[in-house]
Amino acid sequence: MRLALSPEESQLVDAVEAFLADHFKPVADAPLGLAATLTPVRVPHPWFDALCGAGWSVPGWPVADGGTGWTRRQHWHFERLLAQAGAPSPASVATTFAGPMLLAHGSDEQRRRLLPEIRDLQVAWCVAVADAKTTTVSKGEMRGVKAWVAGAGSAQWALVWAQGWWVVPIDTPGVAVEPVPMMGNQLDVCRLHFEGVAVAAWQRIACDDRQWQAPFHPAGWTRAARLAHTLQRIDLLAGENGGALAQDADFRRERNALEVAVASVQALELRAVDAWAGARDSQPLSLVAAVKGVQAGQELSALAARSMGYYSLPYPDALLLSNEGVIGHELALPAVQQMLFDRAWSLHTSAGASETTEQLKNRVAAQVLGLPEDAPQGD
Amino acid sequence: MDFSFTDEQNLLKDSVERFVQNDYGFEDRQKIVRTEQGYSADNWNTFAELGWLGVPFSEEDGGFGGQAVDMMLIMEQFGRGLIVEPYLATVILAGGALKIAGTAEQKAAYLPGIVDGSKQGALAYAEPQGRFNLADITTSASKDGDGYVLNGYKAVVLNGPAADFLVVSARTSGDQRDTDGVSLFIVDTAADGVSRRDYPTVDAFRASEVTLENVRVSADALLGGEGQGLAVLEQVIDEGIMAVGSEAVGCMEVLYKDTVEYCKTREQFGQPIGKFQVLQHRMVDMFMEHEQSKSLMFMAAMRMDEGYDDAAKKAISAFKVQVGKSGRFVGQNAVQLHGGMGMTDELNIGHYFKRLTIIDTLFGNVDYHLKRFGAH
Repeated sequence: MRLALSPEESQLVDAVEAFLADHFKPVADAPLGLAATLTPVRVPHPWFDALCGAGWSVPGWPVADGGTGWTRRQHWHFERLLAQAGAPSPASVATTFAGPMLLAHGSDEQRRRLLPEIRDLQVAWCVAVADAKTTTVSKGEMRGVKAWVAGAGSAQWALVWAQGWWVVPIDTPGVAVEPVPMMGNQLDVCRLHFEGVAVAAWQRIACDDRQWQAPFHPAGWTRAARLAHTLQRIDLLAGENGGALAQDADFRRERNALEVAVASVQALELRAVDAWAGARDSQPLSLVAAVKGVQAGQELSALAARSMGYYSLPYPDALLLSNEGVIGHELALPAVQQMLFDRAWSLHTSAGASETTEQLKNRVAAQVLGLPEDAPQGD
Repeated sequence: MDFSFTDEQNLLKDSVERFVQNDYGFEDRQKIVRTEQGYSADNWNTFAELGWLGVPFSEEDGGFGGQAVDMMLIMEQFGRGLIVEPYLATVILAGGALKIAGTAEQKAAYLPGIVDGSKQGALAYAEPQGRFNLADITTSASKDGDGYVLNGYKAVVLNGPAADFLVVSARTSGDQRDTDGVSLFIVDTAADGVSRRDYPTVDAFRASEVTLENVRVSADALLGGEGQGLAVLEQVIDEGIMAVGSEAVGCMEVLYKDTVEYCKTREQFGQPIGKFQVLQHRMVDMFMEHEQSKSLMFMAAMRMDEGYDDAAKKAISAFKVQVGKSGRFVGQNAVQLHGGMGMTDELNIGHYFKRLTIIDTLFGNVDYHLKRFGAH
């Protein structure tokens, strides 16, 4: 049992750290501040081009298709270091879901036409599964409405479940993207309308499993590293005005308890990674890490927002970026937005499926503790 | 980064686990607890024969050169069995102080006896007014010719009744809470001026209130540098936290698993209560608290084995905070889900709850370690 890295791990860590130093510049030297939050990093982007240049765009893919051939531990270190630096990961719906599905089930034509752009981080994808109105394909035309499509506003391609999986370019005539406004104005969630969208046979993927699961990706075990950023933001806020808040005993207790919680999430993630790297069952630990990570994250971002006092009031809106400058505090908008946005975490935990924390606990009760099923588990 | 155990560690863990399973059933334990001595001399000899009493000591001191991970493996199993033999007091606390600060002569005088099971020790560090502050000491040690004279009162000395010797913290200089001026002394419990009032603790261990009245010790009783005892004490206590925290993780494992088994079989309204979602989620939370504590246990042990520095201290405090919180949650809910039976002394559940409750207090509770965590 040791925390020290093996030579194989050290080598990778050194390379990634050097790469980050060369290519990743936190926005305006204030990675926790407003500018960083309001400048979403979308493909294509120089940072992603740099990752492609290094050959690190799709580490977990087969080497022949652009993968790195890293060990699982190395792959996780790569994701961890990016998360620690606050750098966007190349892991996305495109690289971790659409790509792997095409690798597993795609036709030669699909692979030839779609995989290179995904590998080169030139396109964004979204996945449309849940029906708002049943989506069907009949006589070469797709009709229906999909709900809860994350990232549709900036995607070029959609992977659509309509009695089978289909690939559909978002700009096909008949596809309409309807944004669903969300608390905090931050989350890009849409309804996708398909009104007589022409689809050709080549767009159908030979996979009939609506519940198809992508291979596990280690980016899911980097939550602790990202939570550390929220903690930094809290410490920055608390240190202002002569540290009036930082010296408050109640505040300190809550803050320290949350730092312990983050440490425990990190430890759970490390154990999950260790199990995964050793090809043992990482699922139970991964579920615990997800639930505890969500809890700690929501409490942290709520503390950050509360730390703002009155300047948590101005509504997160583009007005704040008017020429007259920021209203209130540079850190207020990210803190409040994050708090609002984070409520979604317990509705959509990232332990390999979009489940609420309650559904996830049902799964632990049945699969880990062997308890008899109570209510229907739902989907 | 690697979380696997060595072959030796797996053997050690298996051997302690086997002992707990085969030779330390709940009824066996309850018989031992009711004896005059409060622990089994036979078991203690078994521990010696199996080499467990020598695990933390170096090979030249007759031990096995074990580290924090090894202690963790032993204590986690001890927690599952709710072992009452005074391993913590003798091997980890008193033995630990000797291991860290003892001269070759002092080690030669005490460690072989600890390792072969013939000597019992205790660490007399707490005082009535001091709560968890290791430096809050009024017991005095004044120079007397070549030696010292000790006067004072030490509180809740674990294993005091059985101890052949005490490691006592006393002030050689400075004011009541000064960090300098704390010294450690090895004191024979049979020495003139040492008196004890013995009692059982809530969790079925034994302890003493110890009064020191003009106790004369020679210069070679001083353990470590004069006035430099606090750092030694802090390290010993952190090793103690590693131990009782691991024990707590073992306790929690038994509690959540026993609760799950109970709820699978206990019927109400014609169905097992384990079918009710409100109880299922409580048990899932118990399981998760256990895994969370276990994860910080691994981190603390690995940090301690990398060297005793600020990162190690911080990891120990984080572990103790988690164990305090999780232990309370798991213990309380195990009692609740077992219903009235969980309250009785006939069932093991309440005994685990009591041990977890005391472990939160030992060496500083959640409140104390949240502050210490924040200070490092």
